[in-house]
Amino acid sequence: MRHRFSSLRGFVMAMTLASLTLTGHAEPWQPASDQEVVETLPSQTSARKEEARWRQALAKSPNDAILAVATARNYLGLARDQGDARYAGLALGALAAWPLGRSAPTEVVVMRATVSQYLHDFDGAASLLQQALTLSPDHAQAWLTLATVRRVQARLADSDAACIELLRIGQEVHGRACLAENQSLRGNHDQARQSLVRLLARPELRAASGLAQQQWLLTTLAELEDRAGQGKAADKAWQQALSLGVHPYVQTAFADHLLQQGRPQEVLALLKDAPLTDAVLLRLCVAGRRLQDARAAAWTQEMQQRLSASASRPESGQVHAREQARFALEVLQQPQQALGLARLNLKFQRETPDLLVFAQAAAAQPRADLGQAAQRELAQSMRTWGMQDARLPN
Amino acid sequence: MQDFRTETGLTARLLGHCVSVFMVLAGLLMALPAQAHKASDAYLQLQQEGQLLSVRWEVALRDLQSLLPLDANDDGRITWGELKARQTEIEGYMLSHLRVQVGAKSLPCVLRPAQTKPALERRADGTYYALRLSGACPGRTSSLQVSYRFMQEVDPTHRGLLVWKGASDAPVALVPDGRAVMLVRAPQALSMMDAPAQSLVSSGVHRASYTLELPAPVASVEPVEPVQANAWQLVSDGIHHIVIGADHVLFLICLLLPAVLMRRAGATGLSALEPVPHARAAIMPVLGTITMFTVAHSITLTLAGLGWVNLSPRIVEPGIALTIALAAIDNVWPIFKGRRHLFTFLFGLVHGFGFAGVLSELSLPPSGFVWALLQFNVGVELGQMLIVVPAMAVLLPLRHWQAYPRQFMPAASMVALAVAAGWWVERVFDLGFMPV
Repeated sequence: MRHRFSSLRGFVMAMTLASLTLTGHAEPWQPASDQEVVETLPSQTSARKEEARWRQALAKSPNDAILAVATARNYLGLARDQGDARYAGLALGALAAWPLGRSAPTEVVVMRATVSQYLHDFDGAASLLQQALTLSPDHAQAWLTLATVRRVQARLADSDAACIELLRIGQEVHGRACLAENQSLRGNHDQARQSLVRLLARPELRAASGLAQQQWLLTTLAELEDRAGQGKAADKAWQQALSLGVHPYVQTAFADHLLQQGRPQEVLALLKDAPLTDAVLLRLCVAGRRLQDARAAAWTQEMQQRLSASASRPESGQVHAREQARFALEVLQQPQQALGLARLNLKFQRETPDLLVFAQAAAAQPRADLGQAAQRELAQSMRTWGMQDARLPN
Repeated sequence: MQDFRTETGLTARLLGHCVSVFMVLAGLLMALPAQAHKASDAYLQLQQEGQLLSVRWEVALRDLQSLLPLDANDDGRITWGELKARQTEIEGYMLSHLRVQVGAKSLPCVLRPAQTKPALERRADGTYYALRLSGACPGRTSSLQVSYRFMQEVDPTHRGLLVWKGASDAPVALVPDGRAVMLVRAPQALSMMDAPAQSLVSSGVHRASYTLELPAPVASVEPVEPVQANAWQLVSDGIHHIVIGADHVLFLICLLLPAVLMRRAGATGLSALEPVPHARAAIMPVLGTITMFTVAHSITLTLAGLGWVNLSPRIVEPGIALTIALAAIDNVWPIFKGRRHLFTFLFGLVHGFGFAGVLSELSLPPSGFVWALLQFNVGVELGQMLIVVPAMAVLLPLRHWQAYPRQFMPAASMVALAVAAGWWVERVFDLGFMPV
């Protein structure tokens, strides 16, 4: 018996050895040393400590609306700076004490709307803002955000109405700039330009505290000049805006201007030190491809990985369709797929870049008849929305 | 990208006092590579075979860091040591934030970790903690209700992307709100539907919207290697299987029933049976018989486990019933003509394939498989001893009972025969009338 048992053991041992040599499967990653770093957290120690302090304070008093809103704002700031959607999620999490659909302080509702807007839930954001504004009709931030959301949705008349509310409550600069931008989207460039230039000349904007507003107005002006087809004037406005400080939006929008002007080299220089957000990476892919830069392949692969990692989420179409369409068109050179994505994207957002990518995808269609049909489709939509752009067919 | 417009300026003026130090500092960090950009997702893979449910659940270390401070020395880097130190809390949190139930009665599946050491996965947006769970779900069912609450406290935009293997490859996005999502295994695809109202607790059933119209690229899920299973757990799976495997138990009992008896030389029939004179005379042959059974089922378990020989359960399962029936008959009418050891060996081969079926449901790691197999087998042997030892403790004193050799032993064997026949019919014709 003992003999039989040991022979079985020998048999199993022999098979163990055989299988070990035959199956050299990769184990899941289990580091050998306790010292091995398995993950590096974003942002610096001091920033993380500050974040931890906010988190702890909020954990102690989760119903403190001022604290919750401030924490959410901080997270949203991180999301914007680093292009990291996780922080937007944490921002909403900070407002968890006031669940959706229950009464909440106005500031909480407006903050939730702002995060929703960042997450491209425009309908959700608009309805929250309207809810906040029924209770606090003089809430400037809520009107301004509502004006923006309606503009993104190409509901320019609704956007105008919100801009006028800003004027009513004494937000002169924001109200006028808001109206000017809508005018420019309608193609009234001269009037809009005059209005913006006048605002920029105001003394309060020249003060140090006015820098952020000045940058914002210059960006609006630069985009206006691009729409008007005034490349040189746009260039000047972009440079001025950029000189006032590094801002992720200004950087990538200026990069788009440079790409449209056929200056990809400058894009690489501009974004050299920018954090690799999806927006930055996309511009690097486009510029790198045009220049046949050695890094283009690696950037493209990284972008592809990010898009496919996000694609398993149902909401991903809403959030990434613009970037996906541009990536398909300008990097992967797949105009048919790009047009489909651009069309899907126009269901959610209708800003200038959304119109541009659709028009470019239409123009790149291998079948000329389909391309022309798509261009007519866009022109028709833009007529419905009351929008004009010198770079687009009308 | 419109975000710039809404907040700049007004934010600074209206709510400027809220701009914190950490935001400003983060702004200075532009040059640092930010590796993660996508929203928070976890990946769940469910696999159900019979009553056994295995779950593989991967969550980002960054998400865990939002829930529990993993970075003990706060240097911005999570080391393997820091992570392992938090294993109990991590797995405790995860387990308490996932609930799987089956059937119309919403019976819970009891899930427990199937690994000792944490395992990690690399994904595009960072490192993930890979937790393997397994457990039994009561009853046969083609529907599961999953309630998911991971990250509920900190990030309502988090989603658990669930794939039910064999049902569908397209993930269902679980919202961490704790509401039950009903998953139904259709013949071809996974479909989602509202559960019948009476099967619901107050929470109601959440219909996950699932309208991805994009020609989206296929998700780049890295190939997932199963992790090393907990040694004790495989042993206990082995024990569990033999102890709750009524057919194996019944077969062992059939072997043991006549072991306390001996046949008078030259005589035949039941009248020739009499109790063995002393316990040792029974124990030695029992050890021999059990050893033959063990050696035999170890061989087939190993061969099947390694995938070298495969027998369909449609053959193995009725075969096991047949071995019981034959052993029971032999107790009364010695059809094996004394070559009981040889037949026990042959029957053991059949039972080994039965154990292998269980083993495959446990989805052992391909590497280290033989080691795992050995552990499972040790469990089977231990389980076997749990039956043999008490059974012998009862049967040995019972042998002196006058009715034992000629009435009790044959009657018990006939009961076993009847049960075995029932199982045989059930398993051949794929019916479901037997209580066990």
